[in-house]
Amino acid sequence: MGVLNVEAVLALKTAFVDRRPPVEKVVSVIHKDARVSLVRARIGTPVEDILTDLDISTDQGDRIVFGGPMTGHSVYSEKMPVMHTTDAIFIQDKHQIVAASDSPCVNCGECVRACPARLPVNMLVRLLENRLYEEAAQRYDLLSCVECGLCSYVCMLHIPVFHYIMLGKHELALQRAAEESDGE
Amino acid sequence: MENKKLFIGSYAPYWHNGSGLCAKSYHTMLAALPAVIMGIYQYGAPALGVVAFAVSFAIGWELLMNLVMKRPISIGDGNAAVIGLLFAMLLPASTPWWVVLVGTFIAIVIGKQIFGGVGGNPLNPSLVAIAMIMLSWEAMLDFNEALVHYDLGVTMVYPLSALKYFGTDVLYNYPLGDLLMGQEPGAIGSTFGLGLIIGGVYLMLRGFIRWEISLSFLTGVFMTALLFYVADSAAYAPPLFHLLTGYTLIGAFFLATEDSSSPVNFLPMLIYGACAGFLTVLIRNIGAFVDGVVFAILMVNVANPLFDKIRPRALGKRHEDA
Repeated sequence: MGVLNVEAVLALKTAFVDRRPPVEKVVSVIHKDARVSLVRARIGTPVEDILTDLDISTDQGDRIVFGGPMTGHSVYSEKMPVMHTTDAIFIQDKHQIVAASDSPCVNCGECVRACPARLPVNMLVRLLENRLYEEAAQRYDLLSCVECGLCSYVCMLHIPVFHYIMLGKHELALQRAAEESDGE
Repeated sequence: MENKKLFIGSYAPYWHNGSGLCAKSYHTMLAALPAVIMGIYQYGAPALGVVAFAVSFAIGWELLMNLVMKRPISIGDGNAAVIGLLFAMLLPASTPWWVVLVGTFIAIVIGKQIFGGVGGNPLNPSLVAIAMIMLSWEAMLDFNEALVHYDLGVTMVYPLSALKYFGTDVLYNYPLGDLLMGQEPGAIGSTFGLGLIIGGVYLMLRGFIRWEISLSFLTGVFMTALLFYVADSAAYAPPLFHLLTGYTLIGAFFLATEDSSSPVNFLPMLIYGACAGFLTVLIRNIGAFVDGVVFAILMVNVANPLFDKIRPRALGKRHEDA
């Protein structure tokens, strides 16, 4: 069973009833002061144009995120285009950015209690920092992660826990792919 | 590319709940203040001296180790200050400065830094220090000897040593109300029960310590003492006496809850606390030491990695019997 959002249904209607290609996208732009504007933009419009239209000034070192604050992807340039999957653009001033740190885990257990997949995140982060991906998957359920990002959100030492987990999953997939192609 | 403006690229999430190790340390010290202030009020300048020495020496050792090991300076996170403060709270007011110096060296260097700094220590640093002092200079932590020149207007015999050497007959000297209000001889920061409870409840409500550990520790002490008391009420003290004397309350709220030496999962936290409480009363009632909290907590610290193996099954994992 699939779930379609309203925008997708509207796009289907545009395509099949009105016989027009759905080339426009409604994007919510979250300003630096958390105000939200809704913008209709043609797919492929650079972020720059939207920002200029809304009078948002950005500076080197700010952050532009495609998607929401918990699961979005940051982009490095204003030239990046709005895609059909871009629902929101989230702008952060450089003073609002909490820098990640490489301090060791103090075992406070906030992440363990926040994790909806009941992962032992405190142990996981120790293994992932040392690149023990295979062991992390076997002993500490790395692959059960549902990728919500709450572990990084609550980490009092600002360890990029979620980043480590996604990197671990990626590296593990590469390793396993390499092993499979070796076997043939 | 004509436009050189670059943005920060990083991985999600882009928000943070704003917590930090620094805030945690300072809130812990804030919560410890009522008990410390009571100690300073009771014992005067010497107590203040011990506290000030311990905190500053601890920070000093931390800074020195940072420089020697060429690591980033970590005194700003407040963890060293917390270790020093907790160590001072366990000492009698008459402790000489060199014991504080050696004790903070043991706590910071041997207890914490050689394991890699904050988060690496398998044992509570303050307790490692106090245990070593206890074994090396027994007289320093004999509260009767140490506080011989003080008179608080109450029976000046340390309640637990009175219990150990004179039996339950002398317990009428220590009404529970007095014990709760700190009207007893003892360490600087561990006699004012009410203050410690207020501090502990504050830390639990703010989520800086895990309530499971504190409450199961207190329950462990209470239940074990109750069993002893029910078995032979002439030989063993009532459970509330055990709860309010010695290091029990500071142990429950400030020592057993130290992050890196305690478990994080629900069931292990309960087992950890209950074991510590159980061992405390066992050592007090049967063992050779006057107070059991120090060694009880150190022992469960050692068992902590084992406890923390008990954890809930992760999402989507089936039970695998090999």
